[in-house]
Parts: sequence; structure tokens; C-alpha cells
Amino acid sequence: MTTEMTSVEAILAARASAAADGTAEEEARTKLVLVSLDAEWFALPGVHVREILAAIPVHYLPGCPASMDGVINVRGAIETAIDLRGLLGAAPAPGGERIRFLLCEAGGMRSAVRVDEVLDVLDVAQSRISEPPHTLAEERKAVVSGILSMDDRVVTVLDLDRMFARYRAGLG
Amino acid sequence: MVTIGAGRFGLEMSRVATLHPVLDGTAVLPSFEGLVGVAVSDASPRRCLVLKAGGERLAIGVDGEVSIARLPTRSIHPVPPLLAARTALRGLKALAVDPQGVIAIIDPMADPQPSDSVIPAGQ
Repeated sequence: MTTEMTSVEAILAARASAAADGTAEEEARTKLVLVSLDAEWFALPGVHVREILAAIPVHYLPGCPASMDGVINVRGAIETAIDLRGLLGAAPAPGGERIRFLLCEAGGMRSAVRVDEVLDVLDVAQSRISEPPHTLAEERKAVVSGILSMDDRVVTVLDLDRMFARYRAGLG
Repeated sequence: MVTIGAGRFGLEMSRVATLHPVLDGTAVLPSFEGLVGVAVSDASPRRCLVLKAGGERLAIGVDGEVSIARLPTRSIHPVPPLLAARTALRGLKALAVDPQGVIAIIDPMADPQPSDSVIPAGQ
């Protein structure tokens, strides 16, 4: 009899523990695409990333700003290809062998965004993303939605809606 | 289609009145490059391209290759919003894709030009 009561207590304790874990698992989570640009790591909200494209021909078009590589053909649709540096207001750079294009859609606009490397696709709890620091450079503040700490690295989470809107307005 | 360096520009045939060699003594013509918003070369134009829209005509000098191209309608695409917002090209209407790459379809007369480059109707 005593053994059975102990067993019931153990069961109830285990159930309470499982319920607590379940509550933790219900915490809002967000998917992020982790990319690198030079030595910095950035995260783009997964909800805005439609596709990760490997090597794809970029067609030159006269009259494009320096930050716009040109246009690409994605299964019959012509999309712009923009260096992420341009969206951040930094000087464009050619990138290396591991460049990738992320087909992104935000603010009613779609464009491929070129990054130096796609590092990972993460599923993180919203609570892990903290507010951007006040010390952030002004031009970054407009496009950064948060900061994520991963091991010993800081990942800057970007706001694609604002980035595309600013780029369309000629900023960056 | 006008090819200048690595750039290819398409003009609808309905917009082209005439194309003829530039004759000696012809007044200085506005350049095609300047009209569409790309860097102007130092070369003298070899051809005079007369465009038409409504009752007006516009004579421009072209140094690049001029050819006729027939493009299937499925090869013609709208200009993506971010490109439309940031391009330096004037009169960019659409993009066409063929095996060689992209053709910028333009309508130079959609962007008003200085009056001395416009030929009044009847001349």
C-alpha cells in the first residue's frame, strides 16, 4: 500500500513538473535566419525570408545604385538583388565564395538580399531578444529591432520592414 | 534596341520615327546616354534616332549599336518597386529578359526634356 501511495505521489509530482515545462514551451518563439556580413552577425526575421538562394546569376542593369547588384530571375519573376550593406547604409563590397541571396518580402516589397554567408536558421524564444542598446549608431537604430546574445557573440536582429522602406526612400 | 557598353535599352517601335546616319553639319544632338540618365561617352554619335510621342518628335544622337529585336510578351516584366525607386534611368518602363541578360525598356519621352531637343510637329 505504501509503495502505491509513493507511486501516486511520484506521478503527481511528475505531472506538476511536466505542466511547468509545458508552460515554458508555450513561450512565444520566433524564427531567425542568422547571417554574417564581414565580421558581424545579423539575424533576419524568418517570417520575411521566403527563400535562401545559392549561386544565381545576377544581371547587370545600368543606372542601379552601387548597393544594388542588379536583378535576378527567380523562376520567371524578376527581383532586385541588394547588398545587405546597402540596406544598412554601409559601403558596398563584392563578397566571397560563400555569398548567398535571401529572397525577402517586407512592407509590400520583395527583393533578394545578398549576405556573405548564411550561418544558421534559429528558433529562439522572444524573451532572448533584448532591446537595442542606446549606444547603437544612429543609422543602425533605424533598422535594428533587437539584440540576441549567442555564446560569446552578439547578433543584431534587423527590421526588414524599415530597411526596405528606408531603401526605397533613398536612405542607404 | 540600343546597346551601349554592357547596357541594353529597348524602345518600342511605335516610339521610333526614323533612324539615319548623322550627316556632317548636323547641329549637336542630345545624346541617348544623357537622355536615359547614364554616363555620356566622348564619342560622337554615329546615328540620329528620331523618337515620336503625340505630336512631338525628339532627335537624339546614338553612338551605340542599334538593332531590331522581337521579344515574346512573356519575357517582359514589371520594374521591381525598389529598382523603380532607386534607378538613375529615366523613363524606365519595364524589364525584358533574354538569354543574354536584361534589357531596360525605356520611354525617353515620358520624362520631359529641354525644349531645344524637341522638334515641333511638322518639321
